[in-house]
Amino acid sequence: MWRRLSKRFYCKIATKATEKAPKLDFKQLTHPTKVPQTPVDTAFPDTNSASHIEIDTKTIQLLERLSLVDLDSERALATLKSSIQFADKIAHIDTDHVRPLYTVLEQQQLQLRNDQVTEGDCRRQVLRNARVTDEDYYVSPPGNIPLEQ
Amino acid sequence: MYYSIIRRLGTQPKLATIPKRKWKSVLGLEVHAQIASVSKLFSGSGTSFGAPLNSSVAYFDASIPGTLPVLNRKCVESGIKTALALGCRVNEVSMFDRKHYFYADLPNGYQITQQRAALANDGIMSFPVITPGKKVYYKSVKLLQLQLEQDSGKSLHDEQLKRSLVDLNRAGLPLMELVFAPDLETGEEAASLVKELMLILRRLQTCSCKMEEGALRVDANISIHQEGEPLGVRTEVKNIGSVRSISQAITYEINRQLETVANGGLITNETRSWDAENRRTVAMRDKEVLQDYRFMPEPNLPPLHVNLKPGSKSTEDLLSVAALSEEIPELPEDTRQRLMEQYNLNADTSIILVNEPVLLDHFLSISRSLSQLPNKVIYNFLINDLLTYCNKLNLDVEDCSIKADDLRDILSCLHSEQINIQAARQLIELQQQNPAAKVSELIEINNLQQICNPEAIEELCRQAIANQAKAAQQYQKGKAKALFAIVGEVAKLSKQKANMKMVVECLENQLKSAKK
Amino acid sequence: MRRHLQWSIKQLTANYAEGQCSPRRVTEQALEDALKLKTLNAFIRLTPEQALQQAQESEGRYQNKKPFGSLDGVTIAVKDNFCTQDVHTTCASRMLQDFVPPYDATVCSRLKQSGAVLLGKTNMDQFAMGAGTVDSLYGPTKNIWSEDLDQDHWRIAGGSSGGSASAVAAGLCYAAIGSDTGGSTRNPASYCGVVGLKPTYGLVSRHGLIPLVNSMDVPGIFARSVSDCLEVLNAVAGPDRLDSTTIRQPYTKLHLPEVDKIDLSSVRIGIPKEYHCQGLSSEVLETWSKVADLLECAGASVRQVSLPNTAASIFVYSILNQCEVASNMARYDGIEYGHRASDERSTEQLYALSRAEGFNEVVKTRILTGNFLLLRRNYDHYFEKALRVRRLIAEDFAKVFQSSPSDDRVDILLTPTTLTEAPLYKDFASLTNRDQCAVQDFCTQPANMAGIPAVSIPIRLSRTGLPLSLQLMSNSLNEQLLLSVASWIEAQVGFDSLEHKQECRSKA
Repeated sequence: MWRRLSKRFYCKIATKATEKAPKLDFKQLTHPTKVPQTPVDTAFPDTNSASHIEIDTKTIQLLERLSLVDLDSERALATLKSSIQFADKIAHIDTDHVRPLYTVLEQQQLQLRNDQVTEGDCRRQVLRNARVTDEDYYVSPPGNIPLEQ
Repeated sequence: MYYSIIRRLGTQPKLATIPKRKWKSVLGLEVHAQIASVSKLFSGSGTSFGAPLNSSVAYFDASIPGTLPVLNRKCVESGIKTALALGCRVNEVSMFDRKHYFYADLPNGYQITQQRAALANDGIMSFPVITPGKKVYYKSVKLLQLQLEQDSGKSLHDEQLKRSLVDLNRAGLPLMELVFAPDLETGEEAASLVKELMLILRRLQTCSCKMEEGALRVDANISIHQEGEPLGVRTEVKNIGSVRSISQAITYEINRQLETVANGGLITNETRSWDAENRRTVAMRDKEVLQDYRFMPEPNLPPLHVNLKPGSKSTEDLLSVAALSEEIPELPEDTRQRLMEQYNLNADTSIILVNEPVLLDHFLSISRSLSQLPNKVIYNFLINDLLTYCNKLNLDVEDCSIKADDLRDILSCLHSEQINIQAARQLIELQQQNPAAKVSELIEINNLQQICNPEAIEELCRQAIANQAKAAQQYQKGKAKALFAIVGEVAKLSKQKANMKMVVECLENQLKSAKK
Repeated sequence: MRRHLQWSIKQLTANYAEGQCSPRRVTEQALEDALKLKTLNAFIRLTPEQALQQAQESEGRYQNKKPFGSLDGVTIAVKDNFCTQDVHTTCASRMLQDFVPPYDATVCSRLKQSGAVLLGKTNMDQFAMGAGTVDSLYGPTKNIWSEDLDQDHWRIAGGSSGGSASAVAAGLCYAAIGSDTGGSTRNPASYCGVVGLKPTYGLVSRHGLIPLVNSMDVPGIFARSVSDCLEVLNAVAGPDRLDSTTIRQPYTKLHLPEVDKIDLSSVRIGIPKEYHCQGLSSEVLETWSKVADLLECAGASVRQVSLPNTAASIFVYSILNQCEVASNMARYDGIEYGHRASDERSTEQLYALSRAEGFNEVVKTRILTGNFLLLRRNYDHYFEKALRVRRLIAEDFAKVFQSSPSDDRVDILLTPTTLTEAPLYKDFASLTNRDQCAVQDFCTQPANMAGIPAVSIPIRLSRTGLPLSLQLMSNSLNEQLLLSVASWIEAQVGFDSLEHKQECRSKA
């Protein structure tokens, strides 16, 4: 397609400051353009009007417990609802016989590592970002207590 | 196994009219086996048990942002070998998933496991069931799934200061989870399954099976139902810390459920913990009222491929199942068959020997070096004498310090009638106390040689007949059993050292001639 | 102005080698300029000590005639979601405000190995969730091309890697590292008038990049020219044992042909019609049409193609993004690192409060939505469904790049990067984060779905004096052709990245 560079060079590259390209006229085209000049319509169901999205209190509490993030305001709830409506837009697309694409590297073999100790023994480094430690332990409050909701 | 219980109906004495109902117990096991490896499943930190706090922790294990998992080849190999040994179908493509829940010792907020496409499925395991006082029988159980997954860290609960102390040394250790179908009925069957599994994993060297170190953990799902009815609500029993407590915990839980139902109560779906000290199961505080693990494919690990082509070889990133199957050693059940075929052992004996790998090693090594010795003498000595001795001391055979060579020397002296069986038993004890000593020295020092000198024997017999005159008379009158008393007397007089075969002969002669 | 700023990386290192200028001087001036242009808010943190140390060492290597590599002494900035050993890495969040990584991301260690001088960490949207660099704990980053930087009339830099784009555009460094999940490198490159490259997924290691969407994240590269971009790519690309999602085949360094040696007659350009969506500005359309025409004039075959699932892509992207975010953010609990609230009643209370205080609203909503979409009862309907549509989107690209009747095939797709010039902050901030992203990422996120490489190159200035850019996409691992065509266009349009009228030019 083109020749490879024969050797290293430094200053031959056209630098923009020194070799200004001629001013282009963006209005003027030589060929009939292949760029569509009007927007291409894409029809997606209007899931916003379908205000069927109701999230019951039980689900909200479940989400809060699973996320350990509070859904504290009306606004947050509205955002959640509208995000779900947004996600519903693809529901109508026909995906029968289409396998999920988990990764674009699905054809590549997963790399395997030799069973050797190459890491660890770095207690100081792994503990240094912890706000609370005690004698080389991380410290957490007592567990298995359901979140107060 | 069937349980018949009579439903108690409070004060109303209607017992007679209610038919006895047949109850059935159903149980399934989930076993987590730590894969024997020097480094973790997805990181290069070490795996040694009892390392200093948070020292075997790579940045990945502490979930430090930006770190990524890299799969340990050895763990995949071990998983495949185990799957093959258990008759599984190894999947050409398997995948890793994230299982989400919050817990202080789960630094990522999720565990990497295999949920949608596991390493292997659909195995089967057959094993002898040993119930004290009952005949041994074989049972088969389906292995539904074998999956690779990470272990979590460990938290110590400090009740006083109301906090948990977290050590991540265990976080990320490689586990194989084996999910068995609920094909079992009793605690003994469950214990026998685990026992056999441990024998297999040790043969394969894919797991140390040290339950005390948590290298093998057993959870049991247990339910009861009436025959012909659907399965009952199940409970899960965790924290079963030893093979012995498996059957105890399960038997307890079955009985607890039967009793609950008998008292008109309901079984609830809950997790219970085995309290080994008080020998009971207790309800555990539930992690979440409603748990939803939100499984999701692990995006940092593309699918794991294996080569299923017969005759293929493993490459750096593509393991060959055929090549790995060549590395599988003789499995316990094959050994049992071989013992029966090559050594003419009966089924029970071969089961005992195979179930005690140390005894099996002793047996094979002694039988090889003392081919003139009948196998029966060897295994009788190992099972009846060595094993009994260990049981008496509550000692695991593995912890007995007597070497196979010493046992061979003892058996060899026994066989050449240099010592008798009593001396041989005594030597087991002496040898255990002086592991460094030679058998010949111990015989010499403790003066254990058998008395085989005919004159000495005759003298001992004369003396014994004199001491047991009454028994001698009875014997002469035809009561054959009376001879035992006199034989016993000789044993006593000779300090158990007389050659008993000669003694019996000599006594019979002496008593016969006296009668004349 | 600083004379050396006009140089390419090759010219700069050549001058270093000849002793015409020194890495230390260039670094000092860069640090000075960064302070002068503090108003841009390009940097979250400058690292003068380390930078000067690295510059000093570089200078020594040049004196000994033994430079490390093609980037020796070249000033580079790194987005604050790449871990840097012993240097704070915050993701512009309160959660990681005090986080000091114990290790270097692979990209950073490779830059260091090739001698680069790392100036500091650049601003971004919190955890890279945004398209404007307006949702940062440290405040928004401003676009250097703005009519007025002080008043209410300043333009956004784009995002989420706005700090990196801004730093390169302002001449504070020769190149910068960003990340690109749905356009986070190309979008701010487009607005700031610099080149922004999103390499093939897996070509550059993600080890040490704090993830947004693991299955789409790619380290991105900003520079003022295509060839400079390539210099950086050559330094950082290639397999990494620490990242199982890097492409395993060894990377061969790419070399651009001289512009006048580029023969376009065998190059087939596709114009995907679906990229003309509602909201595309007439100036961008004009620019797009003109560049297509230029290519055709130079002998390239230019044809309209269809990628029918393009419009679905933004919804799929949104679903996958929120689900992975819900998962990736689960690690932030305040125990091992990160913000820890003072509530010690229970693990659950501590986690909840630490997360409430550490995350902004955008992050929290994405976590909640992601968890909703991942619930057992919703998984198939949303997450798995999105992955199926993702395959359709990826197959659209596969078809145009490698469809069997060979005359149907194209090598390069030419599209807009952004629909408009950089919006005013006040206009942009009036939209919700989701709507911001839905508009901003329309043209960019499909490439992330398919894992293909894409580059944004500045073409010209709009009537208001703001950069307008176009995007090129190619099949996976075809960076050689992608960047060659980009450099040809670059030479034709002669865009000057430093033509803005800001201080670093005037005061020198």
